[in-house]
Amino acid sequence: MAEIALDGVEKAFDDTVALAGVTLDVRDGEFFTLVGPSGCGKTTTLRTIAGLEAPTAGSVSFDGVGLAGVPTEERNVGIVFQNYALFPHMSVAENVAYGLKFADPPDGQSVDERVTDLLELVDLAGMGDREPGQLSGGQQQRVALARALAPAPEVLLLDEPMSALDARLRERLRRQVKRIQSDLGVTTVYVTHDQAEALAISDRLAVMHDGGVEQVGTPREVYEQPATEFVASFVGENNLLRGDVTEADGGGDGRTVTVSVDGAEFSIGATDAAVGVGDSVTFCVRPEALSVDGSANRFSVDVETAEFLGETTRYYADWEGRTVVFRTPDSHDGRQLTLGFDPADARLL
Amino acid sequence: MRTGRLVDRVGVPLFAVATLAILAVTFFYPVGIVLVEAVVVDGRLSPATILDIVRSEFFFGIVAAALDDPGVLVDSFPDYPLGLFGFTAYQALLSTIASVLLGVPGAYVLARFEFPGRRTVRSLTALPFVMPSIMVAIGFVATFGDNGVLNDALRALGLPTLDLLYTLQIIVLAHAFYDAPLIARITAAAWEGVDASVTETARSLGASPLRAFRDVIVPQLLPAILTGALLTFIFSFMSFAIVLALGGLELATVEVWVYHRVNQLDYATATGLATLEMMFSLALTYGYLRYEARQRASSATRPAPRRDLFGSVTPTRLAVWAYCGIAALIFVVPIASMLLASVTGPNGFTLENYAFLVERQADAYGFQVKPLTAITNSLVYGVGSLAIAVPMGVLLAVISTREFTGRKLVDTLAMAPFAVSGVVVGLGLLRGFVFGTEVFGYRITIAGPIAIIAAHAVGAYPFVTRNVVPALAGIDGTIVESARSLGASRTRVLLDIELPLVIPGVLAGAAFAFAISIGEFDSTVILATGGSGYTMPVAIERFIGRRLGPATAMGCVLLAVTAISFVVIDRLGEGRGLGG
Amino acid sequence: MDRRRFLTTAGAGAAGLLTGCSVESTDSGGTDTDAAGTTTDSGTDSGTAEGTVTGTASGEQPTLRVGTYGSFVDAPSTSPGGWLKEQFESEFDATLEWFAPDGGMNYFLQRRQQGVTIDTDLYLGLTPETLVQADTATEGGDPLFTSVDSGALSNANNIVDDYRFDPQERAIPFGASYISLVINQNTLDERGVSQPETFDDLTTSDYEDGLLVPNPQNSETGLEFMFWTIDHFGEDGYLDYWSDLVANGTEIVQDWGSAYAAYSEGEAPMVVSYSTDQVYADQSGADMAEHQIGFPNGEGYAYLEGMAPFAGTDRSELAVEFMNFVLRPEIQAEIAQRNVALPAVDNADLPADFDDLVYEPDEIVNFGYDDLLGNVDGWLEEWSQQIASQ
Repeated sequence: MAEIALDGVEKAFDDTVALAGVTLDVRDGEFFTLVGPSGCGKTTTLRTIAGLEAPTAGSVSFDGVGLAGVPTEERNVGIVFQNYALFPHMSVAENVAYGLKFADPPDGQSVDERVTDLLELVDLAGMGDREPGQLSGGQQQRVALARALAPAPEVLLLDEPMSALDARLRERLRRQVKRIQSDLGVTTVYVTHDQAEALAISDRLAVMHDGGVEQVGTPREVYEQPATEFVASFVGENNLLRGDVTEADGGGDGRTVTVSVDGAEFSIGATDAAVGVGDSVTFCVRPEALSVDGSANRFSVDVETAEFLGETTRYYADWEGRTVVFRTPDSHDGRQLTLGFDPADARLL
Repeated sequence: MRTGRLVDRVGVPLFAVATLAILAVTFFYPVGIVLVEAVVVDGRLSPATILDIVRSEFFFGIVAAALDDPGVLVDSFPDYPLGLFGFTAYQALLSTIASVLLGVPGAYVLARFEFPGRRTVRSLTALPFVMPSIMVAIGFVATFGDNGVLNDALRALGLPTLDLLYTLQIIVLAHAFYDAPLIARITAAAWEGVDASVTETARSLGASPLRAFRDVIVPQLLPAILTGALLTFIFSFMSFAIVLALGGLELATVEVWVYHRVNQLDYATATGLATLEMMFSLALTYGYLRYEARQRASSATRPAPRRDLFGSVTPTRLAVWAYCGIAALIFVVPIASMLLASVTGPNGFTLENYAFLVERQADAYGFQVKPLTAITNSLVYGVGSLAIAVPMGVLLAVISTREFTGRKLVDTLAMAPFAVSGVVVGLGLLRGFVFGTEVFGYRITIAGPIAIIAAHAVGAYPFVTRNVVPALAGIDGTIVESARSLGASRTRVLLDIELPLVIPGVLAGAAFAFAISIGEFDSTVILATGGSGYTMPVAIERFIGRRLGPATAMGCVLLAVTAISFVVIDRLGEGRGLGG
Repeated sequence: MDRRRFLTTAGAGAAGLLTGCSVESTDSGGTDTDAAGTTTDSGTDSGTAEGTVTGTASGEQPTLRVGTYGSFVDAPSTSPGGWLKEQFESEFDATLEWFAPDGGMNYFLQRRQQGVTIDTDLYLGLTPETLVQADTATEGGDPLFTSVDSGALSNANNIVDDYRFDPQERAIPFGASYISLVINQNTLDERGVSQPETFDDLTTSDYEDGLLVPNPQNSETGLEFMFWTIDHFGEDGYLDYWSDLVANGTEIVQDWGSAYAAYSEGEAPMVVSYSTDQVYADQSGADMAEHQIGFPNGEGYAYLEGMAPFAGTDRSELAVEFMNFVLRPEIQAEIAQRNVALPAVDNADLPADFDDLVYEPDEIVNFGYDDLLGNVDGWLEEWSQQIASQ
């Protein structure tokens, strides 16, 4: 198990810049997720950690030992790819056993014992003789996981392993992977574009955008205290509004600021930065923080679309030409509604 | 395992060095010592020989004339004399087109239809390749001659007969005979790798089957078709014996001239011509390789199911049957004619030709050619050259798929044996090997089995390479990366993962390589001179006389031996790797 | 695979494969080994076709290595080579070794040019043009062949004078034949024409698409036919004649084998071949009407064959004995029959019906050594360029 440290890692392909200086660290035994939209550099970062790409600048180290010039096969990492990349000409058991040609099984186990153990771990006991082509997507993914874990790697890397699976299966496997990871305690870096997934399974996560890291933190931190506009809009659903500060008193945390948006005035409670009157600012309010007929920060909206989600309904409404999203379990057939929110739930970015 | 790790580290590089050494000794050196005469005049480097040829209207037609006087381009438009090179390129182009037109439908039948004996037919697609030109000539005369099968049939139907012999058409047809099966086989392999879902998507979007074929399938087949087309063009361009046998001197190609000039011991002109041939072929190859690099074939997750060849009559089936009829005429009838000729004497059916073979085997003098020796030699050389050509070819394919600057150049040079005149190679082998080379005060001669095997291997390995490269390139990168992450070194990945996955490609290349070895004549005849190292094609040539019987009997033996070998090689590959 | 077993097998295999290779110090004075390969199957040879010409140790049988053309020793129909060897060896205390390289004369010329020893004592099968070719190639240096004191050849004065072709008397004739047309009268009957009488006839519409000629570039037969036309039409006129021939549908085919094969399949009613054709036809019981012999303008081109020792042979005495042997009347008669040709001497005892099937022309045409020297290359080049451009 190892700590991973990336320091100012840059990567350029010909004239495209994939990573523009990534610095982050993953703690020993942590489940760390890189999340972001396509092209943000999360896969490149993962591949750099794996040694499949060499950074054009910056360094990668495990437990403080720099890995420049160390090829993938010597880094002791396990990788699960999006397409599982099982060896088609080998059986399931042979796939899982492959890494054990280059490293002895831990704890003095024999290869066969180790393979059996791992297949049990991923709920595929007895399937050793099957061929990859005979397995379903979920089963293949679990074989890939077992294969990666067999040589007891220091670091486990997963590159969007669930994207090809249906939603139900994805959730189930997610839990399984998380359980295995915490049982084994192996440092894990997980890449996904699905922010909901990232929030659900990570110990900490990094939101990436355009080759850089926007924010690192626990799921709750990132969700409740987005550091940038991008994070605010990418992680979870959010309503972003831009306006001008009309009132600002004092400095420091937790003061309330009044922002005028198209003439409507809103009180914003969660503020970290120092802003002055007349500044252009953006603030965000989570859909669940908007309540129908709320007492503070009231404004009128026209409901356009409703999506029934089971435990709640998501509404898309129009306010002054902007789309506002809010959630409430009650059903509202009416067109016009008044919404409001607590200033403490509004955050200045 | 220290030795294991040592093998890991030095395995591939050592192999690479060995391969390059073999290539250097068996090909570049012999060819070099001959071609050097094209650029050395009176002991000094000089372009005079080559320039003389380029300026000669006989060789370069309008190009040569234009070099002297560009005005000629305008004056003689559009009657441009082609010159020898122009004509050679022209007939090669026609041959390529004909081969593609004949070969691609064949690929369609092989890839998309089911019929009894399909696998055997597929194995036998390499058979025409093996046939020595004299056999093809005999078969074609018997099929397409004035009194041949085709004309007899036309007469019986009351249709006008066709005068095909000694025309450009028959040469093109003969080249197609050799090369269309090659194209069919390579394209069929690619066709089997086309995913059904791609076609189905196109259909669901409104494309008719024909449109879907054109827009979706053809692009996936194009790399394979172009590989076949390139090989066909180069073969037809360098063609010699079949052109003379069926076309007569009026339709001579450059290679005919090279051969003749060598016979007159006029090495300057011969090597000048050969050098120009080689430059042209290499340039073509380089251009093709640049194209090939941009294609990425991928293995099918779900190939479409096959249809039965025999069944209810539909327009498609009718067209396919019509094609099969034409294919039968062009490919099967000449071979059948040869079989027939071997059991026909002046007075009808007879086995005396085969009896001759048996008697000769029993009673021959030491200096005479014996059939069984020829067969054994052919097989030994075939297996031997496979043993060298397959590893060499695979290694060069591996090198070709790694990224490094100058990769295309190395790839082109590796394909050089295709592009160089067989006569020149033979001459080089004669001078360099048989006559011996002086090194450090010793004269080293290399002749006999090892020289022949080396010569065959060098002529054969490009086939292996060209079949393995697309397969290697089609392996998903993530599979390789997974293996590396699990601790496998580059060499181990190659051995454990990549090579097992390309076995179908290796076997396909091996079959053709074997065919090349069996059918090889020019170099073998030089290296086996005077000894008992002769092969079946050499024996066939020896047995040609007034009566065609003995030669055709030997030719049938060659076909039988080769057919069995192909089926064996192909069956070895059944069920191995993907898509068998 | 078991590594040890693999290595031993590989070792043995490698040893077998290396036969035919040699490493020799270039300082060694003796003859270099002309290494040729063997295979695993040697069968029941009654003689070997490889190996060295070693110096004679006392008591060892000397070997005479004679170069010749393939069909003299190894034709599928008949060849005199085997018989001749048996006869010679039964009478003389020596071994006769035939050597028929695929490149013919070029094989020896290439070796000479590269400075490699020829390693052969005598060549049997010289024609005027191959002799000219050899002399032209070795011009300025040592000639390839050497002459023999004709006093040593007992039957030499019975050699037909017309058959002699070497002014330096190196090549001694041993046989002859005639180039002629071989005609399929049945096909001509279908056309309603009789056999052509003259060269010019061949360019008329009666005989359109009528003639197959082996390529002079590859075939002696075709080459001599070309000489024949030069003799008949002169150096200035023969090209026009060929132009007319080709325009009339004459095809120039790869070699004699292809031409004759096509003729047999009925591609054309006439082919340039030998006047001894009916001997073979008779042997195989074919229809004689399809093997008519035609001598245009009553001429036939003499295809002369000679033998000469290689210069530098250390077996001159044995070579002379062999040549003497070959010229004996009874040997000449046998060679003529087995080679299906005519004897070079006029006192050979031929069977009575020999003349029935072997035709000789009224007028013999032949280019001798002096006619050919310096001309052949030029003729061939201008001829071939014209044909290929047509």
